[in-house]
Amino acid sequence: MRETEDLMNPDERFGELLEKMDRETISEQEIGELAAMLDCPEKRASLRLDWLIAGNLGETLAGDAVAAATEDVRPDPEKHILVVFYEHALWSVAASLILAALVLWFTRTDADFNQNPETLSWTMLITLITSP
Amino acid sequence: MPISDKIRSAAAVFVGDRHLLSAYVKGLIKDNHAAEDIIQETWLRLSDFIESGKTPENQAAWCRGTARNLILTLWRKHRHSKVRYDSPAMELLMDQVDQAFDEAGAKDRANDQLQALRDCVAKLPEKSRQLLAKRHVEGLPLTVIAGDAGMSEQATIKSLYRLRRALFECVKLKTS
Repeated sequence: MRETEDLMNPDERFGELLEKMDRETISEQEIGELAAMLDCPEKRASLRLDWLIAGNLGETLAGDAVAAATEDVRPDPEKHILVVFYEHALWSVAASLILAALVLWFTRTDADFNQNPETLSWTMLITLITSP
Repeated sequence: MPISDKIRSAAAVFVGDRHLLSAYVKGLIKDNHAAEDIIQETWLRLSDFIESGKTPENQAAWCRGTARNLILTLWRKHRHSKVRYDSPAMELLMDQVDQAFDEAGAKDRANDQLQALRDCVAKLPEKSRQLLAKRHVEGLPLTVIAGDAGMSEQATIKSLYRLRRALFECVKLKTS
């Protein structure tokens, strides 16, 4: 283990120690190693940025997850307009078809009325609706 | 200046510096909830200090000093840890960390760095984000993360370190 650490790039070892920097995980010897590495302004600036990232990563990740969830729920405005348009067109076609079918049915019934007066006819229906 | 104005002005500075205090506290103790408690307690102590008619010369350093004492008090309760809180190595490390944060200046542009962090996190693959979330949102110990991922503890440390390094480089590049 020690040999692997010795072969490590100093930056890599520094990063590894920062990741392990927890009194439950890191050893006393490694704490000393990290403290010695920090005896350099560049490394101290690196620690500051690394801790700024690590210290605010939780909030950033949580915010990112909320944004992703909102993105899933929020409809794409362009898609939304298309859906509304198609739905509207679909309902218009359906309503026209139903109306045409009704007109045809009543027209045929009206024609049949002369032969079979008991059938509900177009004119009879209007009479029924308009009569007091 | 009336006390209420002094507290209001201190609150504005505290909020502005909060990300740095958060970095300091969370860097030393990995437990997010404990870290938040320490940050809140620091604010309460600062407002008590101001209410008593005093004003810290350097508010950021005062808050860090108070947070450091609170961290040491917390560590005193966890005596079973691998590293003693009052070991010479730990004290030396704490001093170096304090110096690192004392050296934080305007050139750090912390707000730009945080914005860059958001952009860099958004570019990460989902699997990497989940791994980071386990460590930094859920605050799970390395052993548990390693067990969940079916990796060794050493491999988990390496993966997390590489992700942090990638974010570090990405933030540095975006803010340089």
